[in-house]
Amino acid sequence: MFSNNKKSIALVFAMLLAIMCMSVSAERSSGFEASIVLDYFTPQHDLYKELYGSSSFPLNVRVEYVFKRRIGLFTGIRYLSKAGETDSSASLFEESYTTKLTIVSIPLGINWYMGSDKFNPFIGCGGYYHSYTESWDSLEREYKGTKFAFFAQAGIQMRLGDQVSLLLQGSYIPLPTGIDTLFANAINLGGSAAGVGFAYRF
Amino acid sequence: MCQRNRIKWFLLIVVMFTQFLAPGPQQDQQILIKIPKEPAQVQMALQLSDFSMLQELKTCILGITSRHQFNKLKDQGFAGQILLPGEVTGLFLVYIPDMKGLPILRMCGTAEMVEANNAIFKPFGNIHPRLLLPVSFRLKVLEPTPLRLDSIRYYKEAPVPAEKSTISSAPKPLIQQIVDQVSKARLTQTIQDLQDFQTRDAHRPECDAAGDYLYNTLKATGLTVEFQHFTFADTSAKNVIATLPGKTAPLGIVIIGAHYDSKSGLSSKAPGADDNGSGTSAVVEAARILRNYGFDFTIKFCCWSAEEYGLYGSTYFANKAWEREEKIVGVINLDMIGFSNNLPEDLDVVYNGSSAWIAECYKTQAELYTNLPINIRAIPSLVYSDHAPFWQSGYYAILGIEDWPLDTPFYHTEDDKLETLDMDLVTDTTRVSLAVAAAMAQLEGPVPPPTGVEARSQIIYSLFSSHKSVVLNWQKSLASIQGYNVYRTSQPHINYIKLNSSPLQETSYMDMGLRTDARYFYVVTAVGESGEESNYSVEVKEDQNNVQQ
Repeated sequence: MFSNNKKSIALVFAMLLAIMCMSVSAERSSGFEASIVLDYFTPQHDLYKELYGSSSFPLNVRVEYVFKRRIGLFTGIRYLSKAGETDSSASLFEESYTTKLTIVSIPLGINWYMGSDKFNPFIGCGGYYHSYTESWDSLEREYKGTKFAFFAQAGIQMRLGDQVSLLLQGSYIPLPTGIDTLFANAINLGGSAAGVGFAYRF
Repeated sequence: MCQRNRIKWFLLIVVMFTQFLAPGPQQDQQILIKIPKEPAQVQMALQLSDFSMLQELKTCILGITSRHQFNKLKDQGFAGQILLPGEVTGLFLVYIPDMKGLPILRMCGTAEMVEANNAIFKPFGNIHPRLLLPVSFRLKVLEPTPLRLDSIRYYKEAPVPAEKSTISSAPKPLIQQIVDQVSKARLTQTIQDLQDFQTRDAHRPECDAAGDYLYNTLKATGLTVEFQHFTFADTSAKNVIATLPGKTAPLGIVIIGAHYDSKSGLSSKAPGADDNGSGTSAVVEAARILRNYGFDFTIKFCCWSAEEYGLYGSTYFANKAWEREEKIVGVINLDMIGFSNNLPEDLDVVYNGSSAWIAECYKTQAELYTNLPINIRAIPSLVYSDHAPFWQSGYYAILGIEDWPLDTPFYHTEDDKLETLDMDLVTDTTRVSLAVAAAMAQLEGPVPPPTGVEARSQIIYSLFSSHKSVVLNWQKSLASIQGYNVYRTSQPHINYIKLNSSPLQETSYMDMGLRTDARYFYVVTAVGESGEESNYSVEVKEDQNNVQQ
């Protein structure tokens, strides 16, 4: 059973797909593309920033099937791993642990390419299935969770050769865990990202 | 329009606007509310930032808050109720033996039942309700307490599980010696002496004279004795307090007390042999015997006054102790310990959630040193004796009483006399109470316990996980010792776990990886050169920063 939120995401997704399909021109060819993008990710949650810093570099690997060079359906994997350090409620004595936050996300999304073959801006959206783990070194302490969340992206693809193109993209990737702790309310592991990478057309 | 008129209009508009925005008198009004004692409801009530607690009972909590905050919470599904609208001061909690008492209360003031046998009451006019209400009704004056809502414990009325107490479960020859010295003849004499005042109604001079008698009697034991003066309902009264200073950790205090005032329908004739000559005689006997021994902690022998009018003496004492941040280890309140209706008579030991360990101690000590059956009972609504103000300040306290509900036909009558008492019950109750007091205050041993124990905590956290760490510090022992042991528990005074495998050489210890949602209590012992372990130090609660000498 889908929640209302998921239903509305699916509806928007379907409508977008329909609009894009209508805009596809018949003379363009279809095919697979593989891409790799390194993001500069800026988290939005204060405690996240405090413990893990205000930036990290997740890697995105995607496979996309592009219909008529206009609409692309993609999936892949996004991997973020960042080391941090615990904080303490008081400074009575020195005690800290190295921690590691790992987020593995599997996207299912759609891109709409709007430009020419050489210079091709796009917008896209979809959903991520996120699996996140936070562990403390030297203590067998681990917290695991999963979450499905919507994302949106926009960018530009610039053809460099017959099969290779340069990708520049920005994305908004919220990851509201819905978890409250003693020190943070509504922990959100998401944020915004700017990425650069390459795509290979098969 | 001239400049002056413009200013006038401007000011008028500002004033009107301010009046419009200002909360109406209704919104700021203080109200008395009843909160169901359920975790979800109490959790919601924590949002009442201006809430001050008046009384914790078995099924509910009474307190005062603003109407504005209450209404806001009500919209979120809060099941609290407003009681006696418009009344927030001069309130009493009244124990009525049966529901026939409610119309009587309502003839004398405004009243509303809050749970079985307990009513909230505001008398008409300025006459003290003790002078209006039948003597079978018990009274407790309601004042804001320092207890906080998040300290509320939930428990069922059930016997204390057989947990390991900090108090030794093996008989100690010295405690046996103490118990054996309790004299039935002396107890009888003290009750007779108190009865001979004819009345000890706290409004009458005879009560004052009884206070002087107790002062002199306690002084004769060689202890330091002082009066603690207070006023209630325009009457001055006095508690009598004798102190036996602790040898190694004098800031830890064990209290054994009883009220010495009495009450009957006729204020000039209230012999009060059972209520509460019996309890007072036990306190005097305890002082006579215990003053010859050395204890780690200080023992205070308290004779409180004006209990019958609403626990004024003990409330004053407990409030002062709380203000001075006194480290009270535990309180034994003896009230009516002499009437037997069923043989063999038992002693009811009444406790609240956090004081179960003292009740458990009573049971253990009674089995070790006497044949007195002990019936331990969790009755948080029994707040009509001098242990209640200590409960309200967050201290551990029990009530020792012959029966609850009371079964004596002489209660608050002119016939409450020595000849109606079972002096064997008084003697046995005194014996076990002395054993409990001696065990709680810790008879001095060959190795002194560590002092100056301090426990501070901090929480170490990441995004999703956290733990608590507690650092303990104490003063270096002056005796020649091997080292120290550290013990922890999550319930006060029971179920200690030793944390170190071999004696620690340092005077500090760090306890890490603890749950953040639990409170922890610690004691430290010193280990002598031949391996003998000292008594426990005063128990400290983490984050209390409670340093004792």
